[in-house]
Amino acid sequence: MEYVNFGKAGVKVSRLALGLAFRRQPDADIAERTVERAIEHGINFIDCANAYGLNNDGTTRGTSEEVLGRVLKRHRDDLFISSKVYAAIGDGPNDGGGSRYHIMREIDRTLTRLDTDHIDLYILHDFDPTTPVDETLRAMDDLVTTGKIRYIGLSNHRAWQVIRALWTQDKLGLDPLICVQEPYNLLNRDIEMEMIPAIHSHGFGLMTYSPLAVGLLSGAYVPGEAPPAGSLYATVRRDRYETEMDAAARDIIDALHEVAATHNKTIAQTAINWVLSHPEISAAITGGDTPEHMDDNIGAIGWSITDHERERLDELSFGQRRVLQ
Amino acid sequence: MEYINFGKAGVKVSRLALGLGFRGQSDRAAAQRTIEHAIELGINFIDCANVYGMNDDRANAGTSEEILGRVLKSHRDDLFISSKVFSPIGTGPNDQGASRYHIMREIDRTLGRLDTDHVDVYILHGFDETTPLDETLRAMDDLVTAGKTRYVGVSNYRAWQVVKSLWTQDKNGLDPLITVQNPYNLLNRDLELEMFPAVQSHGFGVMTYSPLAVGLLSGAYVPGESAPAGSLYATVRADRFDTHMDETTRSVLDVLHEIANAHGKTVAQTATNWVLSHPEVSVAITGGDTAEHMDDNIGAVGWTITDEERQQLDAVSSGGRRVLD
Repeated sequence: MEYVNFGKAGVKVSRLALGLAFRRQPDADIAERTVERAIEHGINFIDCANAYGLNNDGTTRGTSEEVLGRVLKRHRDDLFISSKVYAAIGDGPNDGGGSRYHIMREIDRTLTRLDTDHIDLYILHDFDPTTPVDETLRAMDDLVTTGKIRYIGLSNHRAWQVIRALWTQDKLGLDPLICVQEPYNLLNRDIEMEMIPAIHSHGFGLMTYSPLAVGLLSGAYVPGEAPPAGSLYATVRRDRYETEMDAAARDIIDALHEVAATHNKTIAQTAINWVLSHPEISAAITGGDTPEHMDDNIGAIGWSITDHERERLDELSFGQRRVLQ
Repeated sequence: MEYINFGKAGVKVSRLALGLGFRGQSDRAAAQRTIEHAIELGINFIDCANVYGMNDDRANAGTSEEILGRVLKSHRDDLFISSKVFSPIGTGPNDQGASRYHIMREIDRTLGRLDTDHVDVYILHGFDETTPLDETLRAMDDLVTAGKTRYVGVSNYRAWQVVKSLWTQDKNGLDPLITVQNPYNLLNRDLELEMFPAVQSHGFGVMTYSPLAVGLLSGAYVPGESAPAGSLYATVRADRFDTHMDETTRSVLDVLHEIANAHGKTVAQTATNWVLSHPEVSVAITGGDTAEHMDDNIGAVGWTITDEERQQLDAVSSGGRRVLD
């Protein structure tokens, strides 16, 4: 496993991180074994959120942290774990957002579910236009000072919001954020326009999620064929399949197949490898519901697509910026 | 004519500005009459740049300022004039960019051509990655202090670069920029994603250029017909006509035609009216080569498309972000 400095920060993280959304796993024991297997493979970076839960179901919010908490009993001191705050976790007026009130309450709930005294990275899950940036960032700084978190990050922000956050932190002498977490894959290269140059100029870490574009690049979907029975695009996203599997997506998947075959890899591994071929990216988060998924994901690293292959994929995916969440 | 505060600043400008690109005008006297006529129609904001010149040809760089200088003889005290610096005006290593060296030299050359002691807003024509932002913005601030410009602006910056500039100015106590000038039209709505919310959160406005998408929305090009003889897309851009006149452009033009007819306006006037229907846009710059063009341009203001028409245009142009320059 390759470990890199997380942006400007001194801490070292694996370039492949495990995200604990557990889209299709209702079983806490299997979920726990999945995390264990990732650690066996050398992954030291586990990405979580207060809103994540088994089956990625709104009713199980918090269960991902509980599963991670069980793993921490054996591995606490060697892992780098994140959680997030902002997403609505209830219907109350203060059950979401970036207010000091909500942040302070949620960090304690998160630490309780994890049964630990601190997390390594606390991430604002989105930009809150209803709360002064000062209030949010002062609260986050206080969490660093009190030892409940080690570092601060942002997710789903626009580049200008990131720069404004850094400005606010600089002006007020607050602990600066060290990373941004955004979606990035061959069907959504939006961050190349503003985010990558912006954070590059500040030297901090970019962690990306959704390397397979919510499964479209997983290899499960074959251009010209109907989506496999039971799959996401055969069920809840059935009405969007034809739109998403357009000419551009088909060309990209065809090229991924060719590159994958050359290296004896899967197309999912190849799609993730393309993400990590960008030096601006510290870590790519991959999902996984079973230990076997981890065995598969790990094949995304330890090799690299050639420059020529990267250029071809770049060309076919040029300008793609579709939002698939 | 409607006059509004220029962003946060106290100065009042006409919502329609005249840009001195003079794409299709080689006659200086006709160019001068064009400006004079714009002023007669109530336009008080003339947008220029050190590189602008007759026929929009870099070989004629500086001639637009000379012509504006002739107009200033009779109108100096009532006009709000801009010029810009950054674009190459020669082949030497310091003949472009945003270094203090280049800025200080170019403002004096600009003032020499205009034969005046100050411009009202001096605009950085692009972001210079090779010069520290501090250096650039300190030089601009010194120009304000010295009275050579009244205000500072930027053009063709990304939203994060604008926010970073404001940060730098805030930190160093420098005069803050009051405007951003970027392209915006029905085929390129890039600004909506990051720039509009970014500048709005700082309380200033965007001045937009290219309302007709380099003529594509001027009414000269009719869907299904070839480009008229002698036009831009029949000559220097002939190879790009089919690509640019795609399904989206055709649909936009069709809707524009309908709305224009309903109001007894031209396609060009309607396209510019759509630009100005956005409260984030303080000023729309229109070009014009002749006094008659000015008579036509002025028909873009003094009326408004209905909410329903705006929604229709928004829907048909959704997501467009093509760069046509």
